[in-house]
Amino acid sequence: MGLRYVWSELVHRPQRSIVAIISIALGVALYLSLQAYAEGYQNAARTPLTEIGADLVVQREGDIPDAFEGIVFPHSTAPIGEEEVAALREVEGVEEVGEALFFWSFESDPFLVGLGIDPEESFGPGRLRTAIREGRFLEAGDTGVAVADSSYADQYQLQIGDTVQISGEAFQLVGLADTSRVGNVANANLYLPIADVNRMVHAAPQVQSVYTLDEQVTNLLFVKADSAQASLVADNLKQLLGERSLVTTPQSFEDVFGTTFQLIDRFGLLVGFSCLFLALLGLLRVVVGGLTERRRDVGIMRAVGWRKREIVRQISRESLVLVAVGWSIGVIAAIGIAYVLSYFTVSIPVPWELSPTPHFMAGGAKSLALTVTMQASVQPLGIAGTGVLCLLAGWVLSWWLARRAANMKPVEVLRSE
Amino acid sequence: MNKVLEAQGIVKSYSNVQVVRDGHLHIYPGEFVSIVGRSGSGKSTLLYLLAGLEKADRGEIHYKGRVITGLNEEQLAVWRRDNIGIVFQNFNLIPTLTALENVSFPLYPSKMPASERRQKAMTMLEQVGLADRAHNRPHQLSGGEQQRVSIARSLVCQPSILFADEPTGNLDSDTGDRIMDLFLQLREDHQLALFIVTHDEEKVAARADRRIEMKDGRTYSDEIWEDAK
Repeated sequence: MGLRYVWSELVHRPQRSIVAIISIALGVALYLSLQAYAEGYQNAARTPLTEIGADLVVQREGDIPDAFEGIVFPHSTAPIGEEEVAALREVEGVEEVGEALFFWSFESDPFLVGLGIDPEESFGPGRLRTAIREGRFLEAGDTGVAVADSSYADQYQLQIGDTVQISGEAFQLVGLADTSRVGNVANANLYLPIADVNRMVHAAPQVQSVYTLDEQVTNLLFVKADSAQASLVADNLKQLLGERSLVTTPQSFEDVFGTTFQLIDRFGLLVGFSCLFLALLGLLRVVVGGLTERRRDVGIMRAVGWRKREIVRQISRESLVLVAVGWSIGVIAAIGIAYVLSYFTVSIPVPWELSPTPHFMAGGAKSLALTVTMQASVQPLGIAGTGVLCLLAGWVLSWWLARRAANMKPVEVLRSE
Repeated sequence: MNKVLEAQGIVKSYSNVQVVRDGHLHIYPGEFVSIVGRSGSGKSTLLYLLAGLEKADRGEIHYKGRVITGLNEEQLAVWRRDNIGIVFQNFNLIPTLTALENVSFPLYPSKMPASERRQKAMTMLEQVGLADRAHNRPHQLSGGEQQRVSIARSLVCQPSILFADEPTGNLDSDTGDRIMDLFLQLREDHQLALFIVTHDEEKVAARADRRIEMKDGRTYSDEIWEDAK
């Protein structure tokens, strides 16, 4: 029907149209941007674990050895028994478990952080395969070889072919890996075959003095879990391994973000909805103002034979066009804001238990932080949701107001004019 | 000849004050009837009642033999669109629309194709001599031109009666004369019944076929009024 009339009304009452469009656009842009911002933080918090392909990292707090000599297990990586690992694999929601053996070596010069890994694991430290800068990664059956973190190798001028001594055993470097490219979680200076490390820890007095070891020792588990149940799985694992267990989840990273993230996460939705609500109030004000201004027009419509539903349809269409234009501009603005946000970086503090350096060593007490990009994006569901909400609210508001306006007696306004 | 419109004993009150009392009148096809009377005599209210813009408290109005006083508001709206045209003293044009769009305004809700709608509106504008101002908006038109647009709009649905409430009241004398000439010309062209409320007995009422005077809400035809005097 009067699409031409809709257009004329919107174009020839520019102030009203612009105020309504800006209100809606601001509300939608703020809502979507806040969600994108929160999403960016959440994605950033997931990055460390995502990059190593695990959903959870499981450890257990242990005891402190009498002396920091030779090979020592850090306080946060006490051994986890073979039976416990087997039980852990059976927990509902657990899909795969990768084992590693983390240690400090105070015997070698310089001090080093080592990680025994199974080269055939496709996730956890196995992801280092993709970060090899030079040489090769560890292979099944390897013994007496190691891969060095490239920055560690640079610091001590180690090259492929050089030998590193640990507990009297010699390990030849076969590769250099850029560990910063794979999450920086539980990283080490040297990566060794887990069988070699297992053999060494069984011979380490400061490990033996504190723990009774199984034949196959492990103290760091990388767990892939059903992401929908990750939180429940984490609770079950904590229950299984007891009070001293340390289960790192994306939530752990979110928690160390502190109040900033919690504010965004918890109040982002509330603030976003408040913005949308205010935008719709703006639309309400504009529609009410418009109808007051156009009482005579509505009277003319009635006088020349428009039915109420035709008047309501006309006014609703005008409002819906304003909402649609405002929403579109808001979405475009939000996408632009999210694009800009994606250039921002976030510093993610690493939970202490994943920090590889002893706190009593130089630089060890300094909290480790990862710097990752925001990865903020406007979610299609959010776009669709705001669209439906704005259109629905706009339609209901305009329908209700137009219905009231259409109920007027035309004579009241035409006579008084 | 059959009456196109007939009112019998219509009564309308506002706040317990009877504005129209026992109104009786009829209009024949093509007839020009003028309503005269002092301000507050109820003549505009009578027009609104006959045009279906107000509902009578009592009495009946027949349009071509059909009782319209029993119609609900929605039915009355459709009846107005299909059967009558209304011209107001202050033109009542939509300010955001062009002259052409204002003329086609009553047709907007119909399913008529836009091109046909425009064609009909342009034909009406040509008849009122404003084809060259079709794309002007009301504020770009003089008072007389706006009233012509208003008249064109009232005729676009091809009504059989045209109601006009003080159509020359806001115009200067010459323009008012030309508007009356236009009314009479259109009446001839379209076989319209004209029902015009006016204060202007000399230039408007004097040109009517029949004059009805209102006093204190009562209608008096020429003959009856003469007798009452």
